[in-house]
Amino acid sequence: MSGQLSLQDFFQVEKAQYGGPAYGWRRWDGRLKVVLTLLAMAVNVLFAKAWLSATLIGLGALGMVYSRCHWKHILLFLLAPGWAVLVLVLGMSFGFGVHPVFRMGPLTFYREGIAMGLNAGLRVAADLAWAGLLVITTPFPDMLRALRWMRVPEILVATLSFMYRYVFLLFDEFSAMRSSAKARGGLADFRSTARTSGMIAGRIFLRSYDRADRIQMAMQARGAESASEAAPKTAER
Amino acid sequence: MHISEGVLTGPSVVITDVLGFAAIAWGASSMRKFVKDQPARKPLLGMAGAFVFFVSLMHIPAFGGTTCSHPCGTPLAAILLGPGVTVGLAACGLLLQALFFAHGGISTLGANTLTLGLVGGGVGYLTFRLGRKLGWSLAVSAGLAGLVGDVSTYMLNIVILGLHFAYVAPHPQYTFWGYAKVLALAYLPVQGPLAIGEMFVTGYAIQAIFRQRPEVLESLGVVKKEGPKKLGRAAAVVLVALALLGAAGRAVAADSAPSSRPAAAADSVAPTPVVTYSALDDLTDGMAEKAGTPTKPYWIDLEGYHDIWSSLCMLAGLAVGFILGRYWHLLFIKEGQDSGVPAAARSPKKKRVRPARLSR
Repeated sequence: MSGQLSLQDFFQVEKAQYGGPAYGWRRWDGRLKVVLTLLAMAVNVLFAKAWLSATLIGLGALGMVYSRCHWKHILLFLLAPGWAVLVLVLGMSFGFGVHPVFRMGPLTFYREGIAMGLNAGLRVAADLAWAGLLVITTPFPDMLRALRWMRVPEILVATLSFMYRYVFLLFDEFSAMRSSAKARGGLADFRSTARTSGMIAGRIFLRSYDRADRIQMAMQARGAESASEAAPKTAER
Repeated sequence: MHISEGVLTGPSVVITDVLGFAAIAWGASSMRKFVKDQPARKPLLGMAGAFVFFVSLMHIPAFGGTTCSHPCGTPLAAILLGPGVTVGLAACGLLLQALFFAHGGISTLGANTLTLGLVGGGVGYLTFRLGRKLGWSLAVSAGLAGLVGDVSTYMLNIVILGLHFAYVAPHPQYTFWGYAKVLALAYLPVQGPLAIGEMFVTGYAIQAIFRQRPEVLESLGVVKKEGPKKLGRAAAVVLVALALLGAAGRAVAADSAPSSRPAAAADSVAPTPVVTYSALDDLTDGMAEKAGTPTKPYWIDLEGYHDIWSSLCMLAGLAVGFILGRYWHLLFIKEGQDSGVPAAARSPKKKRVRPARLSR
């Protein structure tokens, strides 16, 4: 479902990762930032206290302000998933509890449910604030270095770097194909949309397959044993 | 689609993350084996990962077009690359989605890997293989794999959330089965059409690849030149017997499953009569009474104050909030607009070159 940032939104954030001034968290080591973020998230979900979540939201927001992140990016991370959180809060409010607060047609909102929903909403917001703080202030290669330092298997880190490098390319190809299909009436209804999406997915896979072959050949031509040796460098866009 | 950050707490996070990371370790070892067997295919893993990640960003209209959702992508990946590799790719995709798109979460990475990667991919792969063994066409087998993989993903989502709400979350009101029913009802309107969409996308995608480049599917071991080996009569009998056994087990479980009753009353010895409720309100009122905590009068009862008008206003407010919540960022950032980047970091503008005038 929606309720998350789009790829277009992320383009904006990515520009700021490299172009923004080096203040606050931006100067810190990537490993420290990743560890602190994971720690904040773990504390948030393991203790599950509303006051703790609220404190973490405040700290995350303060970190973003301290790092002089652009207010639009802060808002993107804090508010974009807002409606999904709203659905969560509302769903819990009329689904759980025994003490009714008010009634709206067939739905009755309960005190315990509202409290549970608000707690969950705070937890989500706290984790997203810290994820936003990490992503806005840390270029992706720094995160990859942190993952290597944390002994994440090399094959996963190399795959992550490839994914990050090529998903933007696939997005461009997909956009072109989709615009073309739309101009030809290929997205008229559900059936044609599903059919066109399937055909585009197949075509994109074939292009990915061919591109993978070309990458391998190019890397071997440059003397690399395999393409993953150059993966961290290719990730630095 | 994914279990959101912060929904699972305490032991639920620990258990699902431990299981999820075990699955990721299996995925990583499958990826290593894939690379060891075919070293030249190493970049394919990254490209396939980008492909899976990308497919999960493809929006399909759902719920009558009022919203859109996206396919899992893991059944398709499992058909092409195998279930083990798919688990690793799904974990990478989920990590990127959690970090960059606020979708899913870091703390729920284990749970989402289990649902989307292990079960979605694994069940989809098995369905595809079974379909091929039964002699079904490539598109039909792949389509069914997409459908079954998608549905099984949500089934495990329901199990995880139901267990969490019934046994870990505070104020449990229903038993596990009660929560499972409520969650299934909540998932159905959006995820039902989505599962059908995933069926079409997976089926058409495999068919398109086969029509354009059958040798790619052959090289990945999805299809064989001599065609699939069909199941023998004995295997078909075993399958039918298993299906009948499953149906019988389900019927027995339905008979013996406790009706939705409050967890507070679960310890009481006296059996409770099965009561049929017509609405959610009746259900909760009835359960509250049985638990010994009868519901109190409503603080704000809109029924006494022009119920229909009030409800319409509330629904209109919800709809406006929904639209604003989904598209609010368009107020601030437009496509192509440069935001948050200092002038020094911007790329220099290209000089516009005027075409030479045509001489008459």
